Amino acid sequence: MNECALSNLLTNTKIPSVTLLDTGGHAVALDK
Amino acid sequence: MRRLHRDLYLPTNKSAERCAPPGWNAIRGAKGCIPQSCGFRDRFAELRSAGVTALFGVSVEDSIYQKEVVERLSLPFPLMSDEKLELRNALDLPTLETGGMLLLHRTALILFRGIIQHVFHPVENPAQNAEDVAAWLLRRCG
Repeated sequence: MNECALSNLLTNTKIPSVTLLDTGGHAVALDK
Repeated sequence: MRRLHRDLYLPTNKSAERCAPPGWNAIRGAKGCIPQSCGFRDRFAELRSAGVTALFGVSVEDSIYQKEVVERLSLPFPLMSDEKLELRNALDLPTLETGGMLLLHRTALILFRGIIQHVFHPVENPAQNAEDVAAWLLRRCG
């Protein structure tokens, strides 16, 4: 991927509604 | 001042020097997780002053490993686990493979109200990344 490709692709993109685990094992919804 | 909802950055903590695979330092986008993390730790107050309301890291390691990293480096922000690669796949984030591991490229994302405002990639100087993020915020929001 070239220098600007990722920026061009992602800028103004909505963060997806995925859920990750934090260091305490708690689920965190990124889009909340 | 415009308030940023969230500042997300993506370290690949498995590089934590002690378990780096052979050739690690020569892989673009791989090395530097500790300098990057410590940079954000050391500039945490400055970033908050610049408008960051939340800051966290994401990597593909499990949360047990990440907890050890947070404690060892005294990070004032949480790490979150993308062990299932959900975020990686949703955004098609660049990855690298080495030593049998699939890791995220070093990247920093600035979000506002759930929308990506700016992308720092590639991060050529991980130790300076937090300073670059703070400078961008001050130019944009100061």
